[in-house]
Amino acid sequence: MSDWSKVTRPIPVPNEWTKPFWDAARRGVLELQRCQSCGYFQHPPYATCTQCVATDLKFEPVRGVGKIYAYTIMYHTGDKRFAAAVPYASIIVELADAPGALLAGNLLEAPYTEAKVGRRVEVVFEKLNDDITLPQFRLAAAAPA
Amino acid sequence: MWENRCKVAVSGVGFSKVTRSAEVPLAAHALTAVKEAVADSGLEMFDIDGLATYPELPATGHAEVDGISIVSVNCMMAMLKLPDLTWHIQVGTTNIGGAVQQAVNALLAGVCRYAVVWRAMHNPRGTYQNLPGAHAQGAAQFTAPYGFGGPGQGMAVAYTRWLERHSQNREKMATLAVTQRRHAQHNPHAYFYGTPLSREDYLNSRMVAYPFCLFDCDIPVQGAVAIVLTTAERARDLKPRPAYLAGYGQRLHFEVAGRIGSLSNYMEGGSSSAKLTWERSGFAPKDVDVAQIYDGFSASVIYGL
Repeated sequence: MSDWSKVTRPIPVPNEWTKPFWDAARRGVLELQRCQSCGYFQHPPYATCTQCVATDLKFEPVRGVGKIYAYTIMYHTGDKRFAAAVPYASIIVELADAPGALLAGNLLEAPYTEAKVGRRVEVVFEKLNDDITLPQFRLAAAAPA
Repeated sequence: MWENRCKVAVSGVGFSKVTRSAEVPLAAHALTAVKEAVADSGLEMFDIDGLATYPELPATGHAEVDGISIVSVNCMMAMLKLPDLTWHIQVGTTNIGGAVQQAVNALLAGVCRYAVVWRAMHNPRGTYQNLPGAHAQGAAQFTAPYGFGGPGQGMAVAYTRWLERHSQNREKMATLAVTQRRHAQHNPHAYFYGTPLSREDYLNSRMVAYPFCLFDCDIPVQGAVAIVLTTAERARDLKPRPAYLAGYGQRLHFEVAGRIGSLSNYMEGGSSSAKLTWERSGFAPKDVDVAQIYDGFSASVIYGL
């Protein structure tokens, strides 16, 4: 298991475009920017829809279930903020409700060796401070029948 | 086929010494490379009327200081004081290939006669990826909090996806690393000239960001290379045998900043730009004797191939 207890994560600085994402995360909800014109979910947030160029974008809640799209295991201790947790898995997740939207995260509550492409994950929320809660991921239970 | 196929040629190349760290300012490396390239062409410096580069420092979190960590066109001109510079450019994206393309275009447009393009690379003191501290702004707010720092991790994730989707194992990449190093033993300009690498060295090396081990990553160095480009007609009057440019191809696969790991974008980018290059040049993969595919991280070769 990676030891996250001594890691100092850099704190995200929300801006005009990203604030709704972080406000929702603080409430324990995943919300992604969705184009009201073509329905495409995108992440990270952007000024326009990256599919159809419309500017009518709203944040909508999505279920925090998805699959590991890609991952890496960090062994290098050069970044002092994260050195204590090495080796750890940094993952990219594609959410079931938002194909094409790729979210970065860590694989928590499991050894880093459990990170595999295609594994089902679910969101968990990690409070950093009063302003910022980080969406994170752990392995999901088996899919319902 | 491109109507300007083989109408531009490389007429000379020059290298500076390549060192692990800065012993002299980067500007000195760039100047040496440019002087060598001009001499290699059989030209005089006053013949040069076009300058182009991509002045970017690939290391994170270090200042761009002209002459020290980058070498801009301004810096080069301050050193060369060319009497008749009629064209220059400094590209902000598209990397050094973009600067070469612009020089090709300028020569075809007839706005300069002999263009020099250089790439100067700096290895800063201290930690190469000098990652910012307590906060993550802009695009990094979605990646840095999870330990995604330098480019290695961003490239590693796409490689993992490729390996697992194709049921491959990372050990096969040893062949590339060993072969590249073997070729370096024939190149006296290469940093690793005189330092061979065995398969065992690769397989036993430490992991950096899985799937990348140490020898999947390039080594930051200090050095510069320059080439002289001119029209094919003029090149035929010069000393060396020209290397004719049959074509170039470049595509853009849009990616929102902070969206990392998209394997399909790397693959599509590689294949679509390659296709354009084959179409323009009139060549096909079977015609190629020597392929130099960007291998900053070993997996990049997959996208190029």
